Amino acid sequence: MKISSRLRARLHLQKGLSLLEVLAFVTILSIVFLGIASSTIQSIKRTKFTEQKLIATRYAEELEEWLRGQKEEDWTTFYATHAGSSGKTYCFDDAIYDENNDMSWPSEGDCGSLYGLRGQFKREVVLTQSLSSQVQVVISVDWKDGANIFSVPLNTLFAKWE
Amino acid sequence: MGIARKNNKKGFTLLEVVVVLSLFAIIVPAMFTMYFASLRAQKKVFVLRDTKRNGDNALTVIESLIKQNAVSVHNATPPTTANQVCTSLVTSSSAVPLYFKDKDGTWFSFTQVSNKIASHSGSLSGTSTVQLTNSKSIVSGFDVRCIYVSELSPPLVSISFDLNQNGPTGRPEDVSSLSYQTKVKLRSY
Repeated sequence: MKISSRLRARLHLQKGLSLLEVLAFVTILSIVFLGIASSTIQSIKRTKFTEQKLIATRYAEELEEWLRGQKEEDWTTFYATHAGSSGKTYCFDDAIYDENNDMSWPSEGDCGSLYGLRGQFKREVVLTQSLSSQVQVVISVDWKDGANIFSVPLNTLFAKWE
Repeated sequence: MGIARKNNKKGFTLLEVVVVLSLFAIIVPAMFTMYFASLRAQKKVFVLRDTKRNGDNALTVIESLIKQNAVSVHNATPPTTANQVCTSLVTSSSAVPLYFKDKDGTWFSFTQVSNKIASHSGSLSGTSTVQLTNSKSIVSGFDVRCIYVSELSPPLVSISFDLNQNGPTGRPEDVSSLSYQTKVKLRSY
């Protein structure tokens, strides 16, 4: 039987992989997989945070605009009744919206540990009288993500200008 | 000699192939699931941000124009004393559109034109219209009304609208909805 040198060479080359080679390959592959997986998870977390922050910012601005409306409508009531010399705290959660999505004043008091705005946010405002014709407005919208608590602050000063 | 070597060559056993394939069958879908979840989350933020940017822009423009420039409020154009509203004579108006007159006698108004908020302004030389929201955002319930407060106080104008994006597919990640409302007083009154 005559075997050509080419065929003989090929037969000799057909070896399996050694354990070490397989181990190295599997290690590199698993590191790459783990890297991709963890960066994807990070990216999802970041994106989720950005989304929550956008919504929280909108809620804070919504309250600021509504409060400004209240102040424009009736400064005396706003200043004397709703703001206090040492600050009055209000919790603007789902309960302050009526069926037309219009807002109304809640009774005084903070939210405590309740995240009652759309099931995940906590929106509080502190109204403090400052000078004779200014009200300091400190809004904060908080939300929980796992063990972390994030917050969007919004501070402004309303003044009587008329 | 060569033939003998060939007989020693072993392939993978069925068990090894099954184990490897099942590992891949677990890992590959898991990775794709994560990848698509990430894409969906990014899309949602993109849509939300676009909606918010449109709404913020529209509200800011309307608010600042009315606050800084409006001198009187009218329910018809051209604005005259006869059609002026939110004064001690005609105390409120919910008739849309309202026309605001600035100190030069030019009028401007804001209306909803087929799902968009449009800002109109006009003088003797003609009128012009600018869209305040983009074509992806759908405006609903756009409302501008004014209230007479007191003789000493300028009219109070309230603005409210809802902004939605439904996307071409209507999938949850393409949908966003925000509502806007505020009240301003005419500072140039």
